[in-house]
Amino acid sequence: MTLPAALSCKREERSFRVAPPFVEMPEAIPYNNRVRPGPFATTTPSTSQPVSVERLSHEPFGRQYLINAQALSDGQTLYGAFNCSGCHANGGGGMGPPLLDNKWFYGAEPEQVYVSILEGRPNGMPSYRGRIPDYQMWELVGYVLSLSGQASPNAAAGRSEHMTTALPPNSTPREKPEVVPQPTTGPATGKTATQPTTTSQPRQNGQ
Amino acid sequence: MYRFSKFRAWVGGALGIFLPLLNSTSLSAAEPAGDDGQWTMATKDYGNVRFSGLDQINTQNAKSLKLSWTFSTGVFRGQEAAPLVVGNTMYVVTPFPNYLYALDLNKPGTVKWKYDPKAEAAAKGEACCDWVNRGAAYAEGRIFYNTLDANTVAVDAASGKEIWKTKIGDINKGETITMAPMTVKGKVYVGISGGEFGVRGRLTCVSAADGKILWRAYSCGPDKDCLIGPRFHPFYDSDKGTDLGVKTWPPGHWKIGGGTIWGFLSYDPETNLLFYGMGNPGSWNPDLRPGDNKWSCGCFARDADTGEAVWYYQWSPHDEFDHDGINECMLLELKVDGPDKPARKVLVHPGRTGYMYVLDRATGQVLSADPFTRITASKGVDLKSGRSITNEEKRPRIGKVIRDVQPASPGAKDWQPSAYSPRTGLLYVPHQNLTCDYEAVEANYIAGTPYLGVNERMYAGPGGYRGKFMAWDPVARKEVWGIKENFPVWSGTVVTAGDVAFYGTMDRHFKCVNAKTGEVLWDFETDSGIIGQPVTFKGPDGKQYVAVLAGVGGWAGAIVAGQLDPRDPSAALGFVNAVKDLPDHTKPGDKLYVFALP
Repeated sequence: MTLPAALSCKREERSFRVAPPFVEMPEAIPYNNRVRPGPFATTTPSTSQPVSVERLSHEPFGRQYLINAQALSDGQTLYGAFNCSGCHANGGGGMGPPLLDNKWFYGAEPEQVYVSILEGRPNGMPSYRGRIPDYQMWELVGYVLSLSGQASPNAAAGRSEHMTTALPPNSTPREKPEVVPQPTTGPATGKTATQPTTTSQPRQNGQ
Repeated sequence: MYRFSKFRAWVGGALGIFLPLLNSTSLSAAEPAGDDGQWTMATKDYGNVRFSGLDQINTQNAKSLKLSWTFSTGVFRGQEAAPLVVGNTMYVVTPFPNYLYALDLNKPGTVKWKYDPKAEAAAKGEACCDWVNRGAAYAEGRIFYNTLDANTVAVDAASGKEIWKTKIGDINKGETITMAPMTVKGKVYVGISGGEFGVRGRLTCVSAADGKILWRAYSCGPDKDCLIGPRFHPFYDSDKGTDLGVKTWPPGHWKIGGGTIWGFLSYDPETNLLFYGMGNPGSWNPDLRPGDNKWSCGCFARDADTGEAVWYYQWSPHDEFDHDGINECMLLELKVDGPDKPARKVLVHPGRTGYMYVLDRATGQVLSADPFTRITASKGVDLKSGRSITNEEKRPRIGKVIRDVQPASPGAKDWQPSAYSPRTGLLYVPHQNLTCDYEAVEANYIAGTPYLGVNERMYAGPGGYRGKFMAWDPVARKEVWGIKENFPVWSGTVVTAGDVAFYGTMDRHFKCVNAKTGEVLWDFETDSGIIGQPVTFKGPDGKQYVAVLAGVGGWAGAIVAGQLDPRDPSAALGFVNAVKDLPDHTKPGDKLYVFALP
């Protein structure tokens, strides 16, 4: 009888709200390209130092939204309310690229996704600057990343609010994000560039 | 409109029976001289008939068709355009970035020049259904076409130099253009896309000489904006009254009311009238816009000079399922009143709603509206009131999932244009067999973002096949034959005096069929799936050629062109669920194929 009580003491620590950010832009946005021109980079002022992705993965701010159930749930509602679903569907994409898979044109770090929403991107992503309160933009970041399994399964939504479409975020296989070039006018690369086959096997995502 | 005076006597007389004996020599005599050698507008002719008098390729020799030459455009997105042929030059418009190529037919496959309109890249994110373009129009030494970023350009056909460029719409509001313009008597008529973005639809008339905008006719709003005045005499009472484009909407909603124009236009030189259809009303979710939502999802007849509306008919008042009314309006003369009565000038519209509408071209009266597919979305068309009969069981409501709605949102037939042969008296209709589950959800209007309010997933209708190429007798009002295809038949078609019809499939087959029997005579495997418009023309060597662009995409092929994720059934507005296996059959493509007899 004491066992459950003892175990419950070892529960993980959770915050129910993420403190709203007090600056609009995060301090350090990961670069989409790791290659930096040298040697002057070492002498640039510390505020504009390139920050490696590794270091940012220890940055707590953006990641807080990936482990907070309330933020992820709000993000899901906002994803519909701000018409993200119109272009990206429930993660499978349409007018915009899919969000379920491991392919990211502009980076999958929370700060990079934040910048995509804030500033827009040149091939059609509109800028939401001034249209969405900042904390809600971060909640959207969390939900968008949960679509490819980047959020904690304990915190991610277990069901859709609507007609069943893609798997709920807490059951989506965790993808390993990679930055890929955006196909523009040349032959598309990746999944669909393979030779046509006659099998009807389901495609392996990310191949 | 199709002026084959010698045909009138018998065109309508077919009554669903194959015409066994035809004197083909008398037909070529009736042919307007010179026209069939070229293909000067996407629709071939003003009436959207897409019949060619060329008869070198016929039912006997079609099996020997050979690839003559190819050309690679370098743009690997959905190729929906019809190549144009003017004199000894072929003109090809690509999807975004909307290059225009001039190819020398004397030295097949060589580029005379290439024009780049430098369209804005951001337009790609505002286009609902891939970055397609449906072709150009030629008149008086100029090529006119539209770019995805909502500009119309005039290009010198000889040199490839830009003559003018006119901004028609604003991509910041989700306004793009995919349609092929039509040009008549020094005017260029241009629509607008963006029915998924709450764009206020309108037809823009541009001067061919200098690109100045002469008038705009809106699809919703006050009568003066819609150019509705004393000449407007709709046939049905529900279309009569003032400012219906305002009154049939919740207050102010007409400002984001849709009714976009992205299909083909028709023109009747005898009456100087333009005919065209309007797209879905703003927000797919019908609960957000009680009322008939005029003038969306209907058809206008307008004076080609002034734009004044003459009549209007609404295919689907208060559209519930994104059943855009933009499909082609074919201008024909048919013996619909009986074999002994004179042929009537009609407008035939294979509707997205699944009905084959035959309208009196002068008045807009519906003479018949027969289902050409399985329909659960509605219960027919009441010919007395002209109204589509709602199926209450399938009426979308917020928060409720409605199952098995057929036709699904792309309709029984989408933009892909049909053809009509006066020789067989049959319509050739490429279309699809898709049903869907449909859930209305809340939608917010934010300029430049989708205004939808629907979750949808589509799947194959009964029978399991997803597409069909059908021959339909518009006088007997029934299907004569049909070829079932695995995927939606998203390509256009052309039928010729050789009694053959051409169409392509999304799983990479370009087919030539016997127009009388539907027998497949020839089948060529292309690099990529076909969603383009086949054309036929006479080359400088006097031979008949058939050309088509192959490159899968569009709404139906978005899964391949946009590399979408099939794990989400609602991807591409629900189309992905119906074509999950398409990437196993085709990759993106960019190639023009030209065929001829050896």
